[in-house]
Amino acid sequence: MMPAALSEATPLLSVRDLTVRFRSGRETVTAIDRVSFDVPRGRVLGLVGESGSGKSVTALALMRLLSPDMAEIAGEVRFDGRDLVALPEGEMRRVRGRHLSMIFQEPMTSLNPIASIGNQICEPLRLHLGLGRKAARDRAAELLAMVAIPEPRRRLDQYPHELSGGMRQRVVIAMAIACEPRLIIADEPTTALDVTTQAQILDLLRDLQSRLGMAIVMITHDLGVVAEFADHVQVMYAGRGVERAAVRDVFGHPRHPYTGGLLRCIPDFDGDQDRLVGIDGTVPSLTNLPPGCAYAPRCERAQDDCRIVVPDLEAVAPAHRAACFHPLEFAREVSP
Amino acid sequence: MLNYIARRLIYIPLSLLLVLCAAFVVLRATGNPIDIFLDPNHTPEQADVLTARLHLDQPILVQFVIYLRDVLRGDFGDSLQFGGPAMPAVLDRLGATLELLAAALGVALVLGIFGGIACAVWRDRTPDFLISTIAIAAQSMPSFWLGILLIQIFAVDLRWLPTSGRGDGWHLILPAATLAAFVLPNFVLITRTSMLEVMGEPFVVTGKAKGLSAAKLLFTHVFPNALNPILSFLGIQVGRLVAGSIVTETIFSWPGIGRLLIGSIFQRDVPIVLAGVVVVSLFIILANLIVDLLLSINDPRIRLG
Amino acid sequence: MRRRLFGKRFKIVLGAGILLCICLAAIFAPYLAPYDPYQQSLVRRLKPPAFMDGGSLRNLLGTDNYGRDLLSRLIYGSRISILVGVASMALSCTLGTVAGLFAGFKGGRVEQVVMRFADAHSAFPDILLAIIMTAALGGSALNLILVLGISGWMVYARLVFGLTRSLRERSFVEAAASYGGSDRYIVFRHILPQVVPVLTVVATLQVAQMILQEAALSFLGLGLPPPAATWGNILAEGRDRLFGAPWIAHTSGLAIILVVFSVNMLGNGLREALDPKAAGAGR
Repeated sequence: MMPAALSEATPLLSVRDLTVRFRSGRETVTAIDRVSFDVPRGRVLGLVGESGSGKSVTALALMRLLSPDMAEIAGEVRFDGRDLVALPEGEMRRVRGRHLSMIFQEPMTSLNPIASIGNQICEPLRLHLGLGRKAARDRAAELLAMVAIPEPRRRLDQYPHELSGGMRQRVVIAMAIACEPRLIIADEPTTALDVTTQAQILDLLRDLQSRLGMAIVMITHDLGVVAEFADHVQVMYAGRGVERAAVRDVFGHPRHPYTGGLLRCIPDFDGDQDRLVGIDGTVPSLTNLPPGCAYAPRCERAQDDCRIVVPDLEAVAPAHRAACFHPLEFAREVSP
Repeated sequence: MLNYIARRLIYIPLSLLLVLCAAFVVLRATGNPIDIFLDPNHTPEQADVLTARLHLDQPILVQFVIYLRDVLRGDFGDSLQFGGPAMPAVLDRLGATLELLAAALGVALVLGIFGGIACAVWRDRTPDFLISTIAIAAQSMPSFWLGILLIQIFAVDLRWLPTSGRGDGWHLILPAATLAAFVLPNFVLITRTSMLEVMGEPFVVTGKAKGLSAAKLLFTHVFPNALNPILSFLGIQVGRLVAGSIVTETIFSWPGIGRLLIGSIFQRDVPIVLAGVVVVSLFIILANLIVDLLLSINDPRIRLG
Repeated sequence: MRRRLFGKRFKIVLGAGILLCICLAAIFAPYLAPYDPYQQSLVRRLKPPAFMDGGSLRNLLGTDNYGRDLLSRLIYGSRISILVGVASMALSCTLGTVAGLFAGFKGGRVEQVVMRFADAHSAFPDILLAIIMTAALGGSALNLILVLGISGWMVYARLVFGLTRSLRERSFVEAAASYGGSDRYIVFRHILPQVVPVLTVVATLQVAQMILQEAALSFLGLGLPPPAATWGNILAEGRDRLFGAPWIAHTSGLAIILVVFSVNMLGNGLREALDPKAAGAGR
């Protein structure tokens, strides 16, 4: 299935200097600025940031779902040995939904309201796996059972408006895992749901991940979800990666002041809030970024150099990178 | 589904009653019906016959009930022009009108939907700019003048097509084109708008994320969703289409109900006018019912909701 | 954003400019028209316009079957078009606004009845009412205004109803109601001022529709009976003379297009100026 040259050691997804620029009129806005990260096979990467940090744009860019009329993508997205950025659209279509699929934030609007659940799940099965009508339907029922939807046969003929939000998100997940992809990008999959349903959906995702051995990029603003779910974390701020390490390193001793700030606000988290109240100031507008580090205006450790030069994401410890000239001390304890 | 149809069916008698009331008020209650129904040079005997027939000596409410009863029986009185009952004379012309309406609506729907889809797909590029500019300009074009221009060009100057009347397929081309042009720009614009609206919906991104091709996405996900507003709009346009067909039939001497109606006004043939208006109204109501059915077939939220 | 051919200021100035000229021509028709529009001249029948072969400067746009001067008839015809267009719009607007306010304010059953009635009425073309009315009462300017006015109220009713409903829920109306503002006070002080910009746009655009409808009804013989000089009548006469005298139909057709085009221009310009949200909608 996979080329021999790709050993287990090669990450499944390797993103290097991914840059996304949006053209609006004569202006160009850099929404994602040289973001790099790896996702090993079967592992979970948490992509964390406030709204406007570029998490969702990163997801859409990985899937190449941004309209080429509006967005310009540069850098390299190596997925299973192939560079998705350079892939012709026709081949990219064979990757989408087959090896790389996506779960969206809003289960209310991410399903076609006038197509039956069954037809929507069968679509990728018939398209990518070439299943016949009957086989696809059987498989769709199995998938609905896998995502713990009761009476799967009957649900196939139902329509999205007949299901609750949580049920719809299960359908979206069933669609995403239909072809047993190697990587799923989950863009805030639980944000639109109520708290109990959130926990159920996360449990389901974790269960499916271990059963099917998929890798997941979990995009969220909720550090709690990351702590529970992810192996590695990439923290994003204003379109740039600011810290990247294993979960326990980031949570145990964050090096970037922004991550430190995020962790300090955890007690204020109530899960469905998309704004962090613990850090003074707001995320700068992408059209009007300060010249140096984008976090400098809010950072208590900022010095003159921070305001002039953008710091690169550099190793501050083995397998731990932070984009900061004056990182937090290693031993610094984070007060809970 | 049945429930939904039943609810829509209730509107038929209500709408029809509305039309009948309006006709009654205008024909009977605004002036002297004898002057309306009869020639200015009528004899007293004719007036007596009419008084007996329409029960003009009765109170107005009784007249109304008798009027409704007669209409429900299909009895509109005898036509002055044809001598016989009015209703059969009107139904006789129905085929010609339906032929014209079907041809025009077919052309307008197909071209309008494809034009609108083209605009949406190439949004803000040259095809969109051309098609929607022409559509907006065409909305200012009076259909009666367009019909006359077409006659001038294709019948008078080029002599390719007949100027008027009904016969083989060649006769249908100009009237159908005129009538189609009357509603076509609206279909282009509504299709464009609703396609663009659906294209911005998140489920379209979901479809793309599944790996669907742009064409498949367009025709299996976007268009079926965009069809709802187009169909609702079609319901509203049926009335305009009928109005347009009356004009078109007059321009091209097309022997349909519209031309019969207009001719009957000058003959002061009130029974024909009334029967014609009722038939046309029924047609509009039925067409709207069909549109509602199509809507409910297309959209489970209407069918099941 | 869609590319636009012209800016809103250009549209308003051009549309209003042409309309002003036409209105002045209508008002001063007796001074402007070179001839009496009803004066027949059998020797000067079917003369082509001055710019065609055989035309002369005596009749700039030629003459019709009875030798009447077409330019004079068109100038007088603008009176009917503008009168009927504006008056029927005013009637529709008044009826619709009152119905919409009423439905929006009373809510409940009143709302149901008024709005369902509007729905039912929208399905029926005004031509049916015109046919019955002309059959009963004959064609006259007053009948035209009545028919068109009664047939056009639904747009305003829906619009005013929608706005009233949403405005009623907003705090300032609630506040006014709570300190004892009467319904009338609320309507005139709070609701109408909000509705007027949108109504202006719709009303302007409707004048174009009304003028088209009037011409169509006249063309069918449901308007002022001949020999009245209306654009629709001239066009209807021209239809029968397409072979020998096409200018009769086409001059009146062009006159109708010119008015409708300039009203649409003005309306769309106003829409972009008064209602920036709707301007992007492209319709």
